[in-house]
Amino acid sequence: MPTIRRLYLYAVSFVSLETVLWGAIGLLRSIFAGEEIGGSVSRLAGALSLILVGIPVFLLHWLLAQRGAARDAQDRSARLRAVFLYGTLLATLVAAAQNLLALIARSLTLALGADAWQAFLGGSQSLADNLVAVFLNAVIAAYIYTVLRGDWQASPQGDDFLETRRLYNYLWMLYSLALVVFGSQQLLNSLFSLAGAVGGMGRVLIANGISMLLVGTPIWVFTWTLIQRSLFEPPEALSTLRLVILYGLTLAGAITVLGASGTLAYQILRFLLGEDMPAATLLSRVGSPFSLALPFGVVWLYYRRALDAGIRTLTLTGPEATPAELQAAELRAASLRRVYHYVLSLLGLGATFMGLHLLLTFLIDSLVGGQAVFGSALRDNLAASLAALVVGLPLWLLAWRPLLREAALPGEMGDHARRSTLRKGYLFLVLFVAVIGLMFSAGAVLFQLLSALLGDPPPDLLAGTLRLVEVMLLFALLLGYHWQTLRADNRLAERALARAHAQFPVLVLAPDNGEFANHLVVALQREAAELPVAAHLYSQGAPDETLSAARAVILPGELLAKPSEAMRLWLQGFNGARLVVPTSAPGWHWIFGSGRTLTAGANRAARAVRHLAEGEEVPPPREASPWMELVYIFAALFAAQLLLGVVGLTMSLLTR
Amino acid sequence: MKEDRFLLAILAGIGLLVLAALGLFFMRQQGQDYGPEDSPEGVLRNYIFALENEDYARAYSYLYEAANKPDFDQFQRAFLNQRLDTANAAVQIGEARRNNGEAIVPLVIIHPGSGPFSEGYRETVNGQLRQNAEGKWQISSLPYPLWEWNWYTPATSEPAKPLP
Repeated sequence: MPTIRRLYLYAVSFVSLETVLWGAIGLLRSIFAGEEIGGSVSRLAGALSLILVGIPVFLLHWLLAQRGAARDAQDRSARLRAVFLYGTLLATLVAAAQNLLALIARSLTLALGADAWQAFLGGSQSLADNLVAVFLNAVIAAYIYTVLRGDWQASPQGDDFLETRRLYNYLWMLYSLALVVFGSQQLLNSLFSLAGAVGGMGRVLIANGISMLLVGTPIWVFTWTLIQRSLFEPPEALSTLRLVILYGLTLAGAITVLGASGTLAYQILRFLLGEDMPAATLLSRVGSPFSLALPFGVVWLYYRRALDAGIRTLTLTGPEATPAELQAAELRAASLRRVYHYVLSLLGLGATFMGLHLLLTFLIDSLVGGQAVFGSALRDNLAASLAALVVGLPLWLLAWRPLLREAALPGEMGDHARRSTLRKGYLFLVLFVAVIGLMFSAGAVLFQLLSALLGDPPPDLLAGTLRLVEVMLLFALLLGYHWQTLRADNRLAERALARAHAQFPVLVLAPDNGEFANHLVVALQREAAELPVAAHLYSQGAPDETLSAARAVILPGELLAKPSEAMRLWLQGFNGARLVVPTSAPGWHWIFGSGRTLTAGANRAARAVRHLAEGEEVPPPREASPWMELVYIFAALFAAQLLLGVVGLTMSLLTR
Repeated sequence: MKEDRFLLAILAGIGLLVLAALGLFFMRQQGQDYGPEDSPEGVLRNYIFALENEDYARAYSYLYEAANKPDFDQFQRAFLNQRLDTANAAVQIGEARRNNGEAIVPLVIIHPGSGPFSEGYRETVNGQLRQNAEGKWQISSLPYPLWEWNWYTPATSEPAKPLP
């Protein structure tokens, strides 16, 4: 079945099934809502119309999809079918869980003496509303589960079912973890709320927290245990999805703890710096950030351990691994761990920068603000600056120092750390921000001074200019420190690379016309000047013993197509890497690179040699079109926007 | 890290800045007091300082005598019930421009941020003072949160007209 037809069948099946399901739920709810006055006719008519329209559409499309799956094993194993089945299972079971949550939350809210509408979910629903939704969603989920079990028993081809099931399990784990974390947060917050204030808010928080924990904890324990048990299967243990989710959870935990700890420190510092704050007010102000920091801190620590274990599994080598394989595994593990440290380092650096900026602004306001009246606002500014430093500076040092140590290591490990794209990306990102910040702040200083010189001074010229100079100096410091780090990296890297290149002799097997050899020698010298390069005319027979000691040999495609016996034997016995430039040979067609010029082929070969000399693998030729790259860029921008939205939401929760 | 002198210097600099800021904070907190009142700037400073210390009687004494001046109870209530909340602002007082018994004083009102990772904002506004018959400077207008908008404005006593 063509993919587009399959997509159509499963999409219509899903929409119509949900229509019938919620129509049936509405119908049953209207039957059980006997005491309601008015509106019953329209409710009944609405529910019936959904069912009557939905059932034939669903049956038509679902039966067609089922017939296709029964006829063709490829159809039965298709990713779209897996997505439909697991997606429907998720949609029905999450709906059932949410209704269960609403039922428990409302019952607990009432039991604790608050009003039903105060429950965080389903405040206006009835017991029958929730039970009907739980029951009917469970029935549909049971049917889909039996279909899924049948498909698994028929051993689906490929990895599509496996990968979709993995995603399904992780989505459940994330959903239930969110319930557990926010349930704990609500309970912790209720302790502070009960201690610090009079009123019913604490009871509502307790009801919300307990209901989330009652629903979330068993699901989380079940799904996480299921995931952990599945790790005995190599595809599960080595999956990229697992690594991405573990990274996401670890970093989400770290970011939330950072924000919440900052707010906590801010409130405590305001109190310590003399703000008139009764104990109840202090408790209520620290309650919210503390209740967020604690559960997210546990998430951070727990999933950090799981992430470490995951990285160890991913880079595990067998007992008979060679030293080179062991080192490659070690390098891979280090590069995977590096992501975590760089993200935290960037966050810590940002918080430290903000703290320093606020601290210097405070000093300027206090020292040169004219006849300043020392209001509470300045105390709050001092508390904010110290809080940002208290949280940001240790985080930056804890994350940045291991990265500095790693980059200063001699040998392969240090080389890889210094040359890693992540490190370069981090350093250049900070340099970019610092240069742009420096440029704009210098422009602003100049504007202030020129305005004053031209006879239109701003109202607070001295303090205003000093504040801008302070920002400029901070950006200069940021630039200077990271520029120095980058230069130190480059010096060490150049030294190590020159050493590696010098120990990697290259032999060019060339035809009698000198063009091939000339292009290669020029390209190799340009790519890595220290590479020892020798050229040998293959028409003169096989290279001698000295030349045969080369670590890599580059030959034209025509030699590979028609080698002499001596050359054939020599090439077979050669121990180093063999690189072929796709030059034209009569009767031979190279699938890749045949239309390229000799210069382009030589440049690519030289790049490949450099990678080999530096102990890396030769990167595969790029097959993606520029349009695909554009799509990736837009996807990354969209993801960044989403991430910023999440961070903004978290911050608004923290500062509420 | 021992060999990274740049990083050590940064950390030492941060430590010194923190100590300086804390020292200045506690020193300024203890050292602030009322000053001379022979200039518009001095009067304004004492008015704000009196509000900081919740000495509303003294603050009230700096208000200009004119028609529709709020009575003391009205004045004090505006601060006590936090319609005017000076706890969330600091003020920098600029140099006054005087003209025929009137003075305009530029003010920078600093509002703090909402947390450790946000910067507050500042607004540049003006305060107005007048000299009374004895030559003393008194405040006739100030911006929020040092002044309520309806002070010195005549209260409307006309009853509302019924709808047609």
